[in-house]
Amino acid sequence: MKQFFADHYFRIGQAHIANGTPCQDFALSGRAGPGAWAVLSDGCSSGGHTDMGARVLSFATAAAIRAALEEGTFPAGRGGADRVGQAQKAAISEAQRVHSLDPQDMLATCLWACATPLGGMVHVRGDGVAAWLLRDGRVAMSRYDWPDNRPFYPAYEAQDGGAAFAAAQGGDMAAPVFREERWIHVPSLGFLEAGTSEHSLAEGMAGAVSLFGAAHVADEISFIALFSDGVEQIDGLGWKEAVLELLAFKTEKGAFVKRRAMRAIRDGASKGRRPVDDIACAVIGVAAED
Amino acid sequence: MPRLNDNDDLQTFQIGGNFNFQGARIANLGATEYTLVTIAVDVSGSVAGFKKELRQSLVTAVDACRKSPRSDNILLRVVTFPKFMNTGVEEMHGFKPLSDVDPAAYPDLNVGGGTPLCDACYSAIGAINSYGEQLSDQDFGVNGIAFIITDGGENTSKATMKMVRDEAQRSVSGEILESMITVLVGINASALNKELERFRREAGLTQYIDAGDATPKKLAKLADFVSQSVSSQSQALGTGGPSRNIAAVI
Repeated sequence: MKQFFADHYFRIGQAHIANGTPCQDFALSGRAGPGAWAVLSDGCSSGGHTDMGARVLSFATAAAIRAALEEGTFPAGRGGADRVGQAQKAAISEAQRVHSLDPQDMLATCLWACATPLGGMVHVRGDGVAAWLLRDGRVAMSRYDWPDNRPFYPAYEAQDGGAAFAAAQGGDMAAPVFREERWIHVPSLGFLEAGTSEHSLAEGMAGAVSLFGAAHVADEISFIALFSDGVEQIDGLGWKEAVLELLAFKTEKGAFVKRRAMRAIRDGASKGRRPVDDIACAVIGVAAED
Repeated sequence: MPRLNDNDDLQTFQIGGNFNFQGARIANLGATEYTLVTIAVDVSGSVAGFKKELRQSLVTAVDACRKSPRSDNILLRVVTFPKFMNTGVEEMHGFKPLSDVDPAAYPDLNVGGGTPLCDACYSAIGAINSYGEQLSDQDFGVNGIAFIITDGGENTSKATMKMVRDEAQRSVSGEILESMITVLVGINASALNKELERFRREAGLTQYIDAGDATPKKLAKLADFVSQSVSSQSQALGTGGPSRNIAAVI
């Protein structure tokens, strides 16, 4: 049976250091049941104490995924995403009540992934990047964003079912506002554009789901990676190049994501390339041998 | 002397000049950064009178390192010199996570022969350089600290002073290790202070410390010095420089 492993990393960006504000990105990962999971969340910089929101969302999402993996009910496509969404909604309400948090404190994106021998899925609510490093060296990547850098946050659903957000986006639930930009990097050819999708407002609020099957897990995928939009804001480095650099793992044991990210950021800093924004990444690895 | 590292988790690496060492397989290491520590202990014939106390000092030092809050980020190698009645060094164990080290199982010290001090320094520093370079290539943050504990001056080495000096310079160039500290410790060697200080200077080592007579009290202080220095250097990892808290006296 395929073995899975996972690790994650997050760090404060230069802009937050300069302004004396906390890191609002957060990430978690682990193994559960027959598979592994990865979660990250990016708090809204113009919200309140969204470092708290990012953590609440991450832990609630992780708990829901872990439970489903241990039950053997994941991956479950849209149904699985809805189950996690319900857990997020409940956690947001409970955290606000217990810690007297303001709704603005809970504004944070949430990206998560899980993988089992039967397949897996990636779910994106908000913005950021998902990437798949394949065994033949190719890297497929999808970047998600919203107009005017105003992403959907799961907390909106907990507030009013997302009505105010939908109204702010024009109110047309079929309007194509949630953009997915796909690229593939082939070592011998470089970056190839693989298309762009304009998902509807309704689809964006529900979150983008990418499913992959047992055959992909068995034969094709090495790593499934999630990045916050901080990966798009590294001085002098494009987001696609940054993703490649952060996925250039040397060894796979233990803190493999932290080692790679810390070295890449340290090497980048020596060339003047520093993360402007907070950055988070969470990665699931699929062991090459059964 | 039996080797304590004959298992599949270790692999053999080369330094140069027929010197080699063992270290944990890099693919099996999970932390983000490591401090590489080598303790080289003189077992020449002249330590016969206090070999039990010297072993106990080593055991105490390693045991204290295991209790350090940084113990998960320390890889320890212990060597003795000379190889039994000969030149060179004998590896008690290669670079291993402290959790895999059982100092209580360290064997009695087999004493005899001369003092191949250059061999000990070359092996101690060269192994940290070589292993550190491979760890750094695999994205690990790495610094190092080496203790060469002796009761006498150089007399039987195969390695030359130039070989030691070159490795010592490489270790502090900043190209391999974030920082490196090399400490030559004289025990029962007060009469040789000038000679050992000259050796330190010519070899390019960081520091020479006279630990005094080989009394149980002094050897206990030596153990404390070693463990405190290891902990301090490990805490300096990530700061870009060496620890500034290594004591000047024992």
